Amino acid sequence: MTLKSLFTASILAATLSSGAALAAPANYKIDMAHTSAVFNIDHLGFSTMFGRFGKMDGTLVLDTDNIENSSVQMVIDTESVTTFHEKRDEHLRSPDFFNAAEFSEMTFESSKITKTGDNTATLEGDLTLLGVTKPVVLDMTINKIGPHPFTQAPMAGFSATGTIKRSDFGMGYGLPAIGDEVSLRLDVEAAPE
Amino acid sequence: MSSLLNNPAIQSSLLPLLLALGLTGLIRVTFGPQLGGRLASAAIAIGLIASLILIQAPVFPPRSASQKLPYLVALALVLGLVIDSLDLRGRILQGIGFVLSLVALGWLLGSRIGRFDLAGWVLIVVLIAVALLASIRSSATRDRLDGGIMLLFASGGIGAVSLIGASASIAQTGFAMMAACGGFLLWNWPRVRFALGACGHYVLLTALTALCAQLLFFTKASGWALLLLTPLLLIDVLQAQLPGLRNVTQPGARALCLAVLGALICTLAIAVALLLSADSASGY
Repeated sequence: MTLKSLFTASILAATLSSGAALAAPANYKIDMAHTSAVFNIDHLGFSTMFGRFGKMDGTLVLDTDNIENSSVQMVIDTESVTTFHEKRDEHLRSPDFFNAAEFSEMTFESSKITKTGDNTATLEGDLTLLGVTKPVVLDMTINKIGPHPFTQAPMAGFSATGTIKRSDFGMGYGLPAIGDEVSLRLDVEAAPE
Repeated sequence: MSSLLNNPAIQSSLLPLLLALGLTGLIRVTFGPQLGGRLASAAIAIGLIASLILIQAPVFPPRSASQKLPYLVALALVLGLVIDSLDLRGRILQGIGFVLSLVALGWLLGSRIGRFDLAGWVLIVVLIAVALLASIRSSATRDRLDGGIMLLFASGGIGAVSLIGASASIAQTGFAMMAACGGFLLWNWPRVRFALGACGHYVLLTALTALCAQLLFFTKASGWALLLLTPLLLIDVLQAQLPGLRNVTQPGARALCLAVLGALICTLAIAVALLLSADSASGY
């Protein structure tokens, strides 16, 4: 191979690879049937209560070659909070906690993803709750990226966990009897649009 | 001590009651019979602010209606101190009280005005009318026990209705107002020693207006039950009309008559709130 052909091949490879990298991030449609936002909170030191949000929406831009080029945005309907106990759910929706009538949405918008292992990363972003926006860092696990076992359509799924202090967002009622630290878990399943 | 102060019952009953009771006497002793007497009802505001801080730590800048309440109470206290210091009465006293209620409504609901439907506007008009009535009645009865008793039962009634409407913090606030008002009124029974000055009048009216707005627009509390509390503002008129009660003129006995009427009106409102809430009442 001459020097000229080697140079041409290098240029071609660089062009193709950069072209591939630019094309890689793709919009994914989040499958709400298999997506959940769950939280845990200490109750008076006696038990850990869990709850979930039944209604949410979001967008996922996924780069399967380089996860760090990906981003996620979620909008959660605070009225949809459920702990499988109607009276407690009503209280959670009241001004004492999620204040759903005044603040109907809770949002998360990722700002940075940093790969930490073969299928792990840290997911940094801004969480807006009760009108207050604070940065949060979630530990992310890329569960699986590949064809759906039945339809063979491409799919992706990840989980993200982290902890926030509800008082940071102005949700101070019941402190310290009801815990300040809230564990969050977000599970997302999505397919290319 | 901290576990005691974290107890919701202490936060909204014993603490504001004892603070208002103690501070009323302290203000009188510190500032003398004239100015001290006029400023004594500031004890209600201080007792309430202490409770509010414990119920939910203040947040700055405040975003929700609950977070705005301590700032509204503080504003009402400052204006009340100025009015009481200058010994202003009559239309100025009434007018500023009413404007404070409008400020509370504007701050809490202003950003939502564009989204109000017809029912929302009706509620606003009713709230403004009741705030005006409350302002007129409180200032008209300031030198008697009547004003304090009507505001005491209005606070307690709102606390009870909001407990049924699933907001424990609003319920606690209502009960704290009732307790603080009660601490002040203990000095005035059976003989009136201190008039319900602008400090107490403004703080209670502003907080009541804010709580009603919050309950009506941000919770599922019963609007009908809240409306049934409105006759509390006229208990002295009711007492003067009712056979058997209208002849009770001795101050101590008359105050008890008014308290019984207040308790009956509150009971009716609470019963309606319970009936209308059916399965969705709080408490779990």
